[in-house]
Amino acid sequence: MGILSNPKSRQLIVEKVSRYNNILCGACYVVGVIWFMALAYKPFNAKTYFSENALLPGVVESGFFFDFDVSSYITEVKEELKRDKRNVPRDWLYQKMREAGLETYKQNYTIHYPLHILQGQLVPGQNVYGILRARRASRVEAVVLSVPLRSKSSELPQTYGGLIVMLGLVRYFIRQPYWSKDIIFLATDREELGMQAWLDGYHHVHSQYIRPDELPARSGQIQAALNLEIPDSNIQFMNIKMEGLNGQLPNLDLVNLVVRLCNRHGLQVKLHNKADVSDMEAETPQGYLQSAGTMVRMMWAQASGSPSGNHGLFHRYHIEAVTLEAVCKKKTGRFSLDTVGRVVEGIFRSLNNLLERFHQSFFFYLLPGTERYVSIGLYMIPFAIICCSCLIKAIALWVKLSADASKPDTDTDIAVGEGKAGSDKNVTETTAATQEKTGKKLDTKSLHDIVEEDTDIDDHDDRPSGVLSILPLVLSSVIMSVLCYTGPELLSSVAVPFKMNVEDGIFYGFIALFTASLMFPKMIARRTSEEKRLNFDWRLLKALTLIFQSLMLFGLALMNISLAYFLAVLFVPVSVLVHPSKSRVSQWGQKLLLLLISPFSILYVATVIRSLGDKNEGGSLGLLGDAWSNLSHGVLLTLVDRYFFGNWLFALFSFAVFPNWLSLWSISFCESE
Amino acid sequence: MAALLRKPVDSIVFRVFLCFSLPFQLKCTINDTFSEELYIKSLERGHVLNHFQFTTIWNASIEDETTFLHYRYFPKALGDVLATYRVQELHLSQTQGQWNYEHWGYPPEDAPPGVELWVWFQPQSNNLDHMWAELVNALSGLFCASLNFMDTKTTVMPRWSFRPSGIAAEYYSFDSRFMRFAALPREIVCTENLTPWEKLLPCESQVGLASLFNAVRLYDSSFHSLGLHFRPVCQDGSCTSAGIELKQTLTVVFNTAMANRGKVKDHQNWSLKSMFERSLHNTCPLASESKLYVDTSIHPAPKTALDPSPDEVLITRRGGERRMYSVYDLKNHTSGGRTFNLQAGYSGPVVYGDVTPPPLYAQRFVTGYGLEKGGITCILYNTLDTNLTVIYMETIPWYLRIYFSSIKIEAYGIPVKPYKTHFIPGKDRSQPYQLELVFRLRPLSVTKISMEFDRAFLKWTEYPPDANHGFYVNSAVISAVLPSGSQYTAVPQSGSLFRDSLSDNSGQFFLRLHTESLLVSLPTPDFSMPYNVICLACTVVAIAFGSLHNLTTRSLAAVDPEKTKKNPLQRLKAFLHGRKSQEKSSQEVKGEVVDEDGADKSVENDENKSSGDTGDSVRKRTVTVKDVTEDVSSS
Repeated sequence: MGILSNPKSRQLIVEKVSRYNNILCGACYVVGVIWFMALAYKPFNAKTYFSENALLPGVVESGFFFDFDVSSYITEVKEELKRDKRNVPRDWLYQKMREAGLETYKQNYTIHYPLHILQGQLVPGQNVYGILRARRASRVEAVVLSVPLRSKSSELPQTYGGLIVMLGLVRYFIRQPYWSKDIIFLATDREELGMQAWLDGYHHVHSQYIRPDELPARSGQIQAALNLEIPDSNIQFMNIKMEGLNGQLPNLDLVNLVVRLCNRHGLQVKLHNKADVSDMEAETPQGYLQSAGTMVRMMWAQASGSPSGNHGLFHRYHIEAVTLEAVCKKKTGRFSLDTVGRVVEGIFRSLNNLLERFHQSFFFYLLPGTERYVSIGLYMIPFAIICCSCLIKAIALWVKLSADASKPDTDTDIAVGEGKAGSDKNVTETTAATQEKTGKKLDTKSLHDIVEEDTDIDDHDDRPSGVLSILPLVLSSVIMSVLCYTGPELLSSVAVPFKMNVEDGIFYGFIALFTASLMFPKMIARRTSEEKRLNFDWRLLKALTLIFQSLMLFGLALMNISLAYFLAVLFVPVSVLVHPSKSRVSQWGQKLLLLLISPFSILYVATVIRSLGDKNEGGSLGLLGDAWSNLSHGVLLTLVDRYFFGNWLFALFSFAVFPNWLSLWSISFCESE
Repeated sequence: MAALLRKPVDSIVFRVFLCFSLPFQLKCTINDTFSEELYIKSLERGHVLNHFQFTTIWNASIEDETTFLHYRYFPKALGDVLATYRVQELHLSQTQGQWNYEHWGYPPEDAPPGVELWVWFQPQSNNLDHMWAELVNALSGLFCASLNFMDTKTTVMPRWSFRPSGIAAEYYSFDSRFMRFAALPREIVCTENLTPWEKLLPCESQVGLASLFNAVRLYDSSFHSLGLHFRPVCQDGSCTSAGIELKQTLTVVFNTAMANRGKVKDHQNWSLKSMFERSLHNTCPLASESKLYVDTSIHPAPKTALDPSPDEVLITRRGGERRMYSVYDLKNHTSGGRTFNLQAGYSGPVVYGDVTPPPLYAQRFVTGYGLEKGGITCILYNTLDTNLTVIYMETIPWYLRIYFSSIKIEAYGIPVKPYKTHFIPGKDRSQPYQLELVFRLRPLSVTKISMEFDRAFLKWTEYPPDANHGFYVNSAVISAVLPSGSQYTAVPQSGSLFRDSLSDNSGQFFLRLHTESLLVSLPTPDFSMPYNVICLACTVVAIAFGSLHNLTTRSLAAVDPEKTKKNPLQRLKAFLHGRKSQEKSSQEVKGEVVDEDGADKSVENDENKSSGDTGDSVRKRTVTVKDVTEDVSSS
């Protein structure tokens, strides 16, 4: 290990890095981004396999059949739904589950909306669940089959097909002797709120906003859950959704299990409506584009941090869960509910075989297809390379800083500009003694000492340096982020007495905060003799920002790789580029770039892309307008998610992304040398 | 035929023998009784309870040392063990499944899932911990169960929850030092446990009610429990003669409605044949009594049709609840080789409606998420309109570190102050946490007991092979004396046979109920990846060790630059560089060889080079190489 022990070779590397840092940064970024996207190419990823041998998928013969008339049940549900626009078929389901001989219960809960939405009114809700007690077990383990209840007025597709399948399975499962885990059949109201209320109630977790009543009955530890969203019969294909809260994913074994069983029963299963690429096409450019598209869609869903279905809330409790969503076509649908029933039966029989909780296989992966996966071991390397370019730049800046501090008079050093060196010659000569002292101290003392020493230089040199010079900037960006985090509560409490819409209140408050933050470098600028100048040790600030940024991105990558990747792709090149400049073009270019990657524009672009996926009418201008109106709603939803489910996307943006961006923004305003 | 021919001779011999040994015979035959009973109760929601009870009463005193020398009905295998370890009372249950109190009422013999054993040792015995360890091992072999795992880590001495159920002196029954309690909630009960249990019966399973035991059916039930209870009793009301009672029970619950689904729509109809796939052909000849009781209280006569019709219909009251029993004397029904197959038909399908819950029941569960902390909460429901004092007992393994300060009892948010608390904190790897609370439940109330714990990180060898399955926590035991006999089916403590519960007139009913056992995950290392860990560790050591060792052990000192060549690192470097220069020089030599005629030229070349800086350094290096080689050869 010559690098560590030999100061000369270390010096060599440091010199190389600081000399070629721009090329290295660019190369790292390009290589990282391309490599990451290349992972969707078949030869670069792997085929999924089962790690947990106990699952034994599809070994048993399926015996499921509906012992009732499905079409008459469907008409019954439809009548139930027609009664009232807001009516969900809860009582009907309760009755049917009870008749089947299942222990059936109702759970009440109340929702108290945060941020003075609905003026603090309490909204009631009710879930229905039944427990099938396994004959051979003593209530220690359970698996869950859940279906969301939706009324006719719901914007989302109906789910009564899932209810019918669930009822069929209740009647079939209850007769079977082989269960070794209890099965909980759960129908939740109000989408994710109901699910969260049930889970909180089950685990006796108290929250200020969702207040579940005591559950009348429980089973043991829940091992896995399957959520069904099936609108009707005539199923064309299934979608498997696995992205959970804060980008958590279920164990890959469960995903594999569901995919395997769907395929076994001939039911096509897709990821985000995208079919798998056939083996023949996989290595062609079209095949690559298709699988890359699927992977990006999956990453997009994961990056949002909000669950893509009710399954997403289970993950926090260490319960592996996925959603099976059916896409129906009235005429061309090829599969009936029987097929789905058999698939679910197979899944539950496999889960029944489990001896331990899911612990093998992967928890961190990306899927370019239902049967291909990119594991954490593969995607972390290109991601690390992307982050590396930040670190290289930071090291280069640091080296310059220390070189500046130690020997500002030697012309071999690149850090000091030639002209400046010439003009400063007299100054440096007079303070030669001080400089030598500083040079010695650098090796032995910490940065703080350098700062103290640097104050001497400050008297002579106009240019401030050291921690003290950037402290106001750092402090003010921290204050900004705290304001951003605590703002919504304050704004909403103000909005109510003014009879303002809470959504608008918060949204315009954020816009105001953002505008203020745009101005903040100007506000901080020190007034010297003639004009206001913003002058500070930008190298130190940039080095610190880059280190903070890579730390943040890397930490995030361990939890939500997709979000980390998207942020890295946006932030890394701009953060590396930003520096004070004398040229107007470069200044304005930098500012434009920074504006483009500001948290506000990121959110807006994300909303545009999302509305693009929803519907495509009204042309591009209409789309932008839609996105604008959706944006305020989206911001509010993210905030509400934070209160209800503990989504940390908002915290991440206000405490990591926003201050990071602010420091970059202020660097672009710094007076150049 | 041969037996018939020999009969007169036999009988003569027998009579002669009888005459000679009459006094002795009288002493040990009189009052030594065995009886077999079956209690069938149709429960709500399509279930049927079958409770077999085999009672042996031995006309002998437990205190008499000669008692365990001669056995008749009492199993010698068990008797020897009990005598050796001076056991006063022993209660063992082996159970599969959890009794559903809310829907089924109370069982005749309560038992937690898995195995539970509690023993009272005789007062004069000493060194009880040792005795217990040996007893548990002996029983483990006798019952084919892992009772030997009941070591100090799981054994406790509850102060109030478990009192002797047989005769005992007052001072003794309050002294829990003679008592040991342990449970294994994870133990799986199967045929291998049934067979040794059956062998303790006087008729084994060949004849009598035990011939109904069809392991395939018994273990395909909703609930299954084997019990064995040994205690000293009084033979009569005034307690003039002591006796020893051995009660073996088998409780099994079938879901007949589900089994019938498809054939008869949701009817609860059952017969002995449909439940056990066997009918009754005979009774145990040793039994003084072979009875079958069918409890038709829930679905009285017109709703339930029994075939054959009962010998007698008993209508009684127990603790205010009206009971209706149809009694069959099996000795009559199977006489002359007749087959007895009791059938019950119901007038309508099962109604899955609301069920009246029993006076007291509980729900217990693990709270919270994550692998750092957690909690246990137990909710007790009192549906009586009177106060009820209960004793609540928890035994929690040491790796769930309970905080005493976090133990809370509350009813509707109002804290309940316990009358008595007995808490013994656990010790790592040697003693479980033990908690007993005595408190009052308000009428028609829901009371919640909660406590919090930290999950310990075990040593890596302490994890079981299926570490990710989780760790079991014993059921909590709740004891109470109910003022009402609603849904109460246990035999009163004063009685021995199930028959005694039919004529129970007391107004107090001792109830012990067991809550769910729990499964808790502990932080578990990734055992499937030791290879990765080894690789990683080796790499880190390989990378870091050399340089760290170098940096930490090197002593830095000022050296004369002339002498630096003796530094081994630089020597090595010089050696490497030197070899390069040697190669260069060998090339030069080659060149020399090629232009052999121009020797002067090469010399000139050399001189030219030596005049330059590079040539100089080459020469120096070659010198150092020579030094090194000399050093090596000299050393």
